[in-house]
Amino acid sequence: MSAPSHAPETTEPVDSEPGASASGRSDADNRSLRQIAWQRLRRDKVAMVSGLVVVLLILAAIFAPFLVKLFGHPPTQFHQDLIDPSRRVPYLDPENPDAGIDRWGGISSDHLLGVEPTTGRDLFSRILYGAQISLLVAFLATLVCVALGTLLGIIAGYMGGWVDTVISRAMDIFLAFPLMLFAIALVGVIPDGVFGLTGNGLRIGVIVFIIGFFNWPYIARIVRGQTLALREREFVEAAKSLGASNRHILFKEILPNLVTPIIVYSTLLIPTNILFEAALSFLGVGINPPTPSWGKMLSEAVPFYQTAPYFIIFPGLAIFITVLAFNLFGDGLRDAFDPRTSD
Amino acid sequence: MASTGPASAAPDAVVRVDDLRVTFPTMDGDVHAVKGLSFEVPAGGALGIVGESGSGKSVTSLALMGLHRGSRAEITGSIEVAGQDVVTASDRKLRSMRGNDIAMVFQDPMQSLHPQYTIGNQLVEAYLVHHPKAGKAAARKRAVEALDRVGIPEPAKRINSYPHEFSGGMRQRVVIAMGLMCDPKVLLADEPTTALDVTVQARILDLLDELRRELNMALILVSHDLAVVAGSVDEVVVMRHGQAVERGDVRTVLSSPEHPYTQALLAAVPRVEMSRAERRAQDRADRVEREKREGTVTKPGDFEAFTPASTEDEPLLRVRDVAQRFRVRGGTWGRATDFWAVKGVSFDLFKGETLGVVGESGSGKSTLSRMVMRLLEPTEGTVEFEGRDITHMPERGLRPLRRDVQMVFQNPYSSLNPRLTIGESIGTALRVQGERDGKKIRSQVQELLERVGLEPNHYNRFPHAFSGGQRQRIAIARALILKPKLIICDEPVSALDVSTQDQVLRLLSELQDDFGLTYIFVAHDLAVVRQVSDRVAVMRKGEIVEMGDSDSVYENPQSDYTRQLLTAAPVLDPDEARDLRAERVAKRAADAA
Repeated sequence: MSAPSHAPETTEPVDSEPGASASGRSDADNRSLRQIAWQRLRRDKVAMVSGLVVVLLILAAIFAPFLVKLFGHPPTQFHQDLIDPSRRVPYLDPENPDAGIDRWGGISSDHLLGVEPTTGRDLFSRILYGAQISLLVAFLATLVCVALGTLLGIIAGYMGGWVDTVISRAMDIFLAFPLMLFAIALVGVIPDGVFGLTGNGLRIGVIVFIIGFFNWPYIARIVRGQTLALREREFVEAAKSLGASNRHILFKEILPNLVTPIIVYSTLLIPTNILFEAALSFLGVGINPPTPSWGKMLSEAVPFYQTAPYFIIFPGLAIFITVLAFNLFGDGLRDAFDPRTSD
Repeated sequence: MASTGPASAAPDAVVRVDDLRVTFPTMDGDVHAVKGLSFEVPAGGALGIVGESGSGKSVTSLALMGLHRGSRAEITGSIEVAGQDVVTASDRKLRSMRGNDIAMVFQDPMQSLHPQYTIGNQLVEAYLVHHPKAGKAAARKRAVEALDRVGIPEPAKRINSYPHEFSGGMRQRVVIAMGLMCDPKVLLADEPTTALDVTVQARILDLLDELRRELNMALILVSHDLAVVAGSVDEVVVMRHGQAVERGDVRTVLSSPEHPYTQALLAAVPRVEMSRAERRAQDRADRVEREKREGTVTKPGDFEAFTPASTEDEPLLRVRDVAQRFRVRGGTWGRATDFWAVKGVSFDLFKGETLGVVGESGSGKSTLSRMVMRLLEPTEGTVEFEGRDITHMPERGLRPLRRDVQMVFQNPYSSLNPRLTIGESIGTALRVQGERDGKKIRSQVQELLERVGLEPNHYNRFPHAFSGGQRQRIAIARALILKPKLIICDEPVSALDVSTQDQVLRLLSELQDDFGLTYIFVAHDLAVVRQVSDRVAVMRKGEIVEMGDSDSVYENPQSDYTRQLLTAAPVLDPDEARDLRAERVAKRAADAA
């Protein structure tokens, strides 16, 4: 016989299955898919760095008042002594007005990112407080999207038939809506004090409502598609044949399988919503001054793009870094959870 | 006997593999897919490579084609095809070799043809790549010849058809025709019939055998099924964990295997000639012996032969003239057309017996089982369980019935919810049926896990931590937890390797003895069905063509279709396989005349 004689021994436990790739299973045994994804995520450097940036941004927004107390000045405090009144941009040296203006906006140990033209408000603290508004709006809006989208998507996908048709057509209509124009019009006509909200509380409420109410179809479509696929899986039939109700199947069998895509797509929806809030504020229908907002800062910076370019760069960078970090982190999450690479 | 394989360094070997090793670096460390494999195939010879999933057989066949280029696989050793070293050849050289010297037939003909081009275009392209000066007309002429060669009727006309216009078997013929376009010296077929029905499988194997003889082409047939290669090859390599555990003349290996693994594998292959009674007796004997060895205290009479209740009693299940209609959209003007997946099926099922339902794909056997399970509502006819009409019972009314009738599904990878621990999955049944006591559920589930051969502490594991066979055990535990009277097994072993399949079949048989279960066992594999069934129903196109006592159906089939199925079933004995082939060829010739 030419068969190699150093073939592996066949002393396996009674119940072993030679077909199974038994190797490497032992340490993976008690891990859930989420634990495996976490281990994969940890090896993804880009995702870990962007995840860290996301966490830092959130912490910075939450602790903005504290940080500002340490490193800056209140965001609405004017420092007009630093500003050249004729050209409205900061002096190079406030002690010596004849030395000219500073294209870098008076960056100093006192004002880490310089000061605003015209008013001289501290840019560092305004960007920090801007993060509060941006993230708050983005998170709340995403929450609304996810809640509406998951509920309607899962119902459409599971029930099928006319229910699916009605919800799917509604999605098409919402997606075809000229969202930006609607937002501008709505902010214009809504009176102050509805629903007991005034000022910026009302503005935030309106923006969250608009974004949430018109962006849910993105989540709903994904959830619906996944549900359609999951509905055909045998474990759903198995649950049915055990006598499980529709509610049990929807929420106990199918929903746990949707958590991953929902987390991933919400992480990717957050930056879109940040950009949307910035765009609305840029157009003047977002947050009311003097509360800082990144979009508003950008629009205020436009007239100064030659004399004080930093004023456009810092808020721009803030938006850019936030959006990029969320996007990269979302991509990393998706890769980590990707069913194609899972066992 | 020249069972030592070809004399080493046979001058006429067209394929020579020496100490092939393929390693895939992964995040969890290196995976050694092939570990020192050597074999040779002489011109015009036929070699079978057999192994279970994960044995490295497919990795080997891809390596022969040089298809690991561009992946991260590390390949050492030498692969020589028609005198050319595949491992070191330049990409350009390799491209000219593929198709020209060695052609490959893949497993799934539904995916190996491009859906957007006519088969003619694809065949012509395969030729022109290697003979750029030949001209389109000549290539087309060759394509027609090749299609004719593989038995496509009216090749000159069908050459303009798209792949979707062919059935699975015909598509596989087209793929083979494509392989033949450049007169390769070696045809490499990787599981060419796994996706096909048994009668179609027989035809494809017959075709490969005929082509090999007439064109003097070497054939390498890769399969998980020893019976598939038995009748078609001279030599066989049995692979396991990336190594050849046994290699030699096919007759020698199959009749007197030397390696314990080959012996175990052969013992696990279900044999169509073995009857239900024999198999049961053997399983019971094995069990007694095992329990004696393990010292398990078995109460006497614990698994006494369970005799089916007499047929005079009220049947457990009575199915009368059931039919299932599906509306198929997309007819002319988007109108729905009716498709009857099952029509006019009737049978009675008595307590303790097993009814085997055997049929090819599209025969309606799964639809039938889902109607009995009442996952589908029959369009016509009635289903009675213990004398109660459940045909149109609403979902709420069915809940008590769910305790009595359970199902084991085909695909253990999709029948368990990946996000639930197996304890939760099995326990769901109790919870759904109103049990609230978490501790009680847990202890019942763990008891059952042990009964199906798993560890009770697997309770908190997720399905991905288990192999296919283990998952099927979990699915069986889930079906058992409500202590049902009837279990419908829909292809419960078709996704499993042969040795795992054997273990699961044993488990089902033991459980039947212990709990007095009644089974409906649906499968496409004739041998498996015979061994587990007291009675057999043969289905075709939604109807039962033959039904009866399993021994009489298998030994004395009444319908033409059953006879056709039986001659097509692959057998382990190479000589018998050849006889059956001759019989099939003769019958086809007679039919054609």
